[in-house]
Amino acid sequence: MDLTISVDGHAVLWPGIVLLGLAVGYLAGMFGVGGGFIVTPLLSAVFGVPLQVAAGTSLAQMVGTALVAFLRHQKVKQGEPRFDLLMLAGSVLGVDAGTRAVGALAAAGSARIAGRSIPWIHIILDPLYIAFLVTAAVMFWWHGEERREPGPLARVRWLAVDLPRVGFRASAPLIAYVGFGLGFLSGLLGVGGGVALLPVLVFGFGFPFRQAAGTGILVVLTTAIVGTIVHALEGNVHLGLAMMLLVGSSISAQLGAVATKKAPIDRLTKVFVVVVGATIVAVGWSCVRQLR
Amino acid sequence: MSIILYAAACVVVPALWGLAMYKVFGRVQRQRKGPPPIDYMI
Repeated sequence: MDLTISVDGHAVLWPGIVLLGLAVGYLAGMFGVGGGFIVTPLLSAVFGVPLQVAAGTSLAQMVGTALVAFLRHQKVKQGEPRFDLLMLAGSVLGVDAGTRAVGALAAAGSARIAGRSIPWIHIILDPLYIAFLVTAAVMFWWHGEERREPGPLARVRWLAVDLPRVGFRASAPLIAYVGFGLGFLSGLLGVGGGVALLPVLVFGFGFPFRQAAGTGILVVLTTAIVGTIVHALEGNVHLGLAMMLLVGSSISAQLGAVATKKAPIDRLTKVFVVVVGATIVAVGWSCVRQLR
Repeated sequence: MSIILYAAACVVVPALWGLAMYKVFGRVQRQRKGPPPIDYMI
């Protein structure tokens, strides 16, 4: 029995992919995360999937997870929908730009570092993944403090609009630029981008934490759909791989959600930071391996 | 043409699976006690 599937010419061990989906889903169920920030770097660093395919495939499986999160948030009315709609304008352009950027990096060839030929896509994206993962770990370690007043970005008054659920006004073009940045990260790295959006909302705009956590889901869903289409047209989506991840993760997410009830939140946070740390080590090790 | 159909499938198939899971596990979610978990979607 052949335990490998061919992904862009690379033999990938499919039981490992199913295990990755199960593990990420469990984590997603415990913490309410999408998991793209772990899936994409691990697909590349551990399974050898080309980064552009890992990003496209991760976005495709995110269509399923983000749709569920969007439907759930519609019920609990968490987040600021007006902010979401304003971000949409920028995020659609951003995800297209990010996808084109990753395509350009994949086609850019390699640079010689310490006598070794290292692809440009790894030189640029691996440090970005590490920065993203460190931000994720920090955001989970800190997750209770809230601001009581509008942040510095909310003081920009250019074409300001009311944000009724958070109780202040913010500049509509600035929000669209935030959406562009989020979309760009999604297209480039194959991540939902909530971990990048959260500090901008909480520290930049002064959103209360729960409203910040619920904001951006519509944007994540839209960017996942647009990003998947653009990546698929570039040949960067492996639907079979995406479905293996999605099937495993959507089932184990239910077990993770049950586990949340049984374990204290402090211990869960430590587990999360350990998993993110292990992912950072895997990406770092992959960088070192290329230099050896 | 086939690449366009493939791109559409890459969106529709995961979305349908997500929708199915939402329906199937919706009852389990509703039975959970306490406040809904914070959803970071990262």
